[in-house]
Amino acid sequence: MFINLMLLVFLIVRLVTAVRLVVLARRSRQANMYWLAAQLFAVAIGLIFTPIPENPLGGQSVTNYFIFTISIPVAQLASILFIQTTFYRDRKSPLWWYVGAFVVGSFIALYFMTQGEIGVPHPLAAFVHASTVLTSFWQVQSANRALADISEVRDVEDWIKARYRLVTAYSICLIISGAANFARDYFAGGAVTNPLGGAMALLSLPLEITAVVIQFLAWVMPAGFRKWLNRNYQPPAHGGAELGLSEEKIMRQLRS
Amino acid sequence: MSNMLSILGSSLAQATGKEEGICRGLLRLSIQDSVEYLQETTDLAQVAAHIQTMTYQDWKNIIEGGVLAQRLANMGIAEPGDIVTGLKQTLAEKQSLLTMTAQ
Repeated sequence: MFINLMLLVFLIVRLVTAVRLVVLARRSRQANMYWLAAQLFAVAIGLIFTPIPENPLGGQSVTNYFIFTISIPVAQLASILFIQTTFYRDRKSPLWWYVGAFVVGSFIALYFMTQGEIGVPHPLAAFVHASTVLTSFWQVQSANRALADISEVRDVEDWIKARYRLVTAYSICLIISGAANFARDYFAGGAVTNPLGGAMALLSLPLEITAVVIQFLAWVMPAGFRKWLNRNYQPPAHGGAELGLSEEKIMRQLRS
Repeated sequence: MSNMLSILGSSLAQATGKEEGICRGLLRLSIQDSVEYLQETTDLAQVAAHIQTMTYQDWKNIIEGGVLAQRLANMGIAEPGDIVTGLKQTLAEKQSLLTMTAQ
């Protein structure tokens, strides 16, 4: 009952965040945000079919297990495309290294997922989590570098800088929980009843909850939270003075 | 004010040695000239609203378009291409701002 309730809460928060991203993408005409929304939708679909005994839709049929299995690499691919189109257009990018690692990791994971029993994964199916770790690492690296580029720009409000930090924060949570899930699946066969599997589950679960909450705050960003993040922000003095300059005045000053 | 306008204005000011406010004005005029429905407007709020919704490709088109280069040439800059290259680099480096400022 508790686990099902938690899955439901996870699902709702993910869906709310994904819908909000679609709205943001449409309103701001930032097509790259659709990839992030797609990632969250894929994760949400995966959650519905999470293969645990308590979940009525989890692993009750091969189709359900297949949907769960395929949702993970779909989410990771969407995440890779989001990072590329948000940070690396017209720039040198390690995209193909990450795509290569994703393809190899997913191929190994998907192949061995079909070799194990439903709910008792083959150890090598754990490679699906390796891709999550790598993709999240790339996101941390990209967001940090981009933040460093604008951290001294006074025109950029504090809530925007905070959004970069929130992206970094939830990505770090996903790296650690991904590594814990890898260890649980690889060394403990996905079980939570032995000491290692139990410890890894205890580590990954709160981190995943934290990641979901931070992701919600980063992208839904309720007005009160944004206001709080911006509480110390002082806009630079230039204001809108140059708005009133005519073309003639601007060109005259440019020539002087 | 648009963060990208501010950052590109700052970059242009560094490259030309002119005031930032003037450089932002130059960019704004180039945008107005390049967007048909803004060409005749005197409503600065409408221009500002348009700038807020500009995508990476929109900015790239403005920077690479002939209007900005022509204005830079009119300023007496012999090699506006170098300045355009610098602005394109700034845009690429700061592109994530367009996503992070979405609200």
